[in-house]
Amino acid sequence: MDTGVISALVHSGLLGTAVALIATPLGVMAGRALGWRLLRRPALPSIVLLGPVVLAPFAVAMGLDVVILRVGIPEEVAVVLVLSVFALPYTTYTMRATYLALDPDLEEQARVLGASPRQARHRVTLPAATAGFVTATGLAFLVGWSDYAVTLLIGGGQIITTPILIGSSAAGSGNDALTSTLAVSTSLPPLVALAVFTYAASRRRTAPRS
Amino acid sequence: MTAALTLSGISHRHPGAAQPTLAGIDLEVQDGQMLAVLGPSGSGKTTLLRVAAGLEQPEAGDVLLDGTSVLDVAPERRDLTVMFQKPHLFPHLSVLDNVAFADRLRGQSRSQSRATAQRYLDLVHLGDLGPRRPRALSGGQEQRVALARALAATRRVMLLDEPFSALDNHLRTSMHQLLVEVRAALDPTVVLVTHDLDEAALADRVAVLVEGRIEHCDTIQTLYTAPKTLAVARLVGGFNELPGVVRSGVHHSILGAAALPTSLAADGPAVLLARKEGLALTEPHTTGTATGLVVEVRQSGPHQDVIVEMASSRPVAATRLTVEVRLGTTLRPGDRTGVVLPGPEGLWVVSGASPQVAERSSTSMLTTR
Amino acid sequence: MTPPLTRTAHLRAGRQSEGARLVAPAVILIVAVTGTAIGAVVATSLGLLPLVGQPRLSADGFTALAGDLRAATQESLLIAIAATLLAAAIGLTIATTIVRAGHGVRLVVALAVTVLTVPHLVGAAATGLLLSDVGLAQRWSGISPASWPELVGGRWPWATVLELAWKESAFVALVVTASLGRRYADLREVSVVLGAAPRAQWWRVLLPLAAPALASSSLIVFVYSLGTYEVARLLGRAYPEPLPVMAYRLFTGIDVTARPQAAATAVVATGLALSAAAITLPLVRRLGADR
Repeated sequence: MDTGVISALVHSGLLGTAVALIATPLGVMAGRALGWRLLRRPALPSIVLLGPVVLAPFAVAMGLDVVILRVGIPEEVAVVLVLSVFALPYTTYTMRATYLALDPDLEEQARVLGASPRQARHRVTLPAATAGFVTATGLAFLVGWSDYAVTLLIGGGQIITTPILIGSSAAGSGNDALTSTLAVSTSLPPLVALAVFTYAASRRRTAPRS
Repeated sequence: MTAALTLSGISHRHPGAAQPTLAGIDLEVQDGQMLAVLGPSGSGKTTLLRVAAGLEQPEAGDVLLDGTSVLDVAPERRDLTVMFQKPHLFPHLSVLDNVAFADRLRGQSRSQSRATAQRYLDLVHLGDLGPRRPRALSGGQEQRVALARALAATRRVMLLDEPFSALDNHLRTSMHQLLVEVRAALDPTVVLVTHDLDEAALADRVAVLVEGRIEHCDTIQTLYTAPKTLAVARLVGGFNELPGVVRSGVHHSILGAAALPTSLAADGPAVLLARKEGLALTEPHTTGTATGLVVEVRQSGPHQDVIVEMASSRPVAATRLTVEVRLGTTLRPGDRTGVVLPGPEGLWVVSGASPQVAERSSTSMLTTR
Repeated sequence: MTPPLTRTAHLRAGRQSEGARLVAPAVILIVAVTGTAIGAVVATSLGLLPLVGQPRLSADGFTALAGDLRAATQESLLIAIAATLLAAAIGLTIATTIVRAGHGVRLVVALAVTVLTVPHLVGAAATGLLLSDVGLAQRWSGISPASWPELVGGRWPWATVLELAWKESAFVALVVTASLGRRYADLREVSVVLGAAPRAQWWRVLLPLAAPALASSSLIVFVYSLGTYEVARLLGRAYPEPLPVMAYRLFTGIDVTARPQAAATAVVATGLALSAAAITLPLVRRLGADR
């Protein structure tokens, strides 16, 4: 594997991490508010948070590209912002489902036993929400890791991730071996992470209670 | 006469379980009868219903409807239906269409099946709620609709799986009343699974299921007066157990000799059973009574239970008796009191030695409400 | 020390403002980014944000390539409708299998999740390697390249639709399965003891219960298929091209005066997706009402 591929893998990883770092915490907060019905009028926020699903990434990327050119925002920042917006519905609604399945009284129970709001969140709710949290993080990472359209349009060939390499390799014919190698090296890491997580989760479920 | 529903030699084991859930169950329910299957949680009573309904296959045994085996008949084609513990109303259908569900499956038109459903909804006193969605109902109403839906299926036998156990006392009592009304109006053949003695009392006969076996099947009165085994007595609750020996129709225990009903005169080790409301308290050291020490006075519904520890010459654990008295006893822990056994008609024995169970004799595994 | 009851009451009172504070960052980010972007796209399409020259309000972006725009819209709708129908049908079949079968289910679920994690771009590249006239399928089957059907880059967008349906059917299956959940097992049992044969169980219980999730996941598949670039770019032919491919070509071309046309294409795609959502959402809401 040449250095170009390795640096592309690193770029993809960084992009995925940046998207997860933004979209996951925001999704956890929003998911908590939606899942535990903490809003008086949840209809509008619910639609806005789901909104990006309906929008075409290329259209949003195109619009932002026009703006950053005039304002002078770095392309990397714009790519991360756009992808975070497209990751937010996934993280928010994963965490909404997680919080729906969790009893808010559990946190109140911790409070009346003497925990501060912060302690109650960190010691009671978050541990119980681990599976949802990991799923949300994984989904957000995947949005950045596997993106092609937004990186290509805003990056304009300057940001080279593995999907960009696959795209150019697959578009030009006769490079089947390279295309396959790139495809596998892009698909495998998330799959391995998924397998490890599933295994760990099943181990923890079946572990003795002692 | 052939029974409406017969379970014969039913054995069942959950996959991977060491103990069988059901071991050789034989039960019969006659047409128009109601049988209650009474058992503590984990006794296998729900499994028994599921086997009868065809939702689980038995390891051995047969299920017969009107004398014909239905073991190979798919559950949807068996001439019986089940009402589950939770109402499980179809959320996508209105209340009326939930009740009309079985008729729609039989190919009846929407209006025809709704007209029939309305009659069943009226029967459970919810005639006005037909257009509502299940979500808009209270817990008690949901169970009423589930009952109407099961009745509207007009199957030969109706199996009820603890359908009222999630309701509060008041609602449960009104559901029991409704069941009595329904039986008077439609005369259905019913098997009711329950852990509640009051609920079992609605039935013509009660089968007591303990650890996968039927220990006793008779009227509820017989369970209270003449339980066949110690397990049944403990399930029913309220019995004092006195281990001892029967010789010539007389039971000998630390309380002394007690004459038994003549029919029970088999010699050998036996446990004397005396209901707590059958015992009485007297002044200590009266002739013909045993004397003991009051260790606790406990409120039990509208009565009080006085727990008396009987003096024992042997160093084994002292026997404690529970005596039910009317409210307002002046006895306090530490007082001495005499205990009088009832006459032969108030006593019962179960042959065999008793394990150490003195403490459990006054507490029931069941919730007696 | 505050007595517990008062503290609980205090907790509840604080919830409303807490909720607003929790959703605010996510909502603001989405509104700011998408609002700016869509605003810029619309402005560009109307000639108000030219790369060079003076802003001038005009509908040229929409009219200059009206024929191409119409063809691209048709192609996009064809791809999206075909992919959605296929994905919904396959997804529902898989979900039915998952909730009905007792064993082997975990394998099916694992496969569906695996498919979900594979990027569309990888899926498209693999589909190309598999289905093209010099692809693996052609070599395995022994059919000569000349008589191999034009699946990739042909008259009809076969490969594009198949790739989208393949990956999105896994999505539909998982969403529908999750929405059915434990509830279906209980309700199916009730329907059985009321006399429902397997076919009736599917029609009268599974399908109505799955309908809201099926409708909403189908909507997502539809708008995704409308807006996806990479799949049609790798597997489609040059003309007619779907809206996203046309928008990219115009936007990244050397002719900077084509930018209003590119933006107009994006506006049409966005308008189609929003209309689809506006039409479908009341249906989804009605299906899911009172549940």
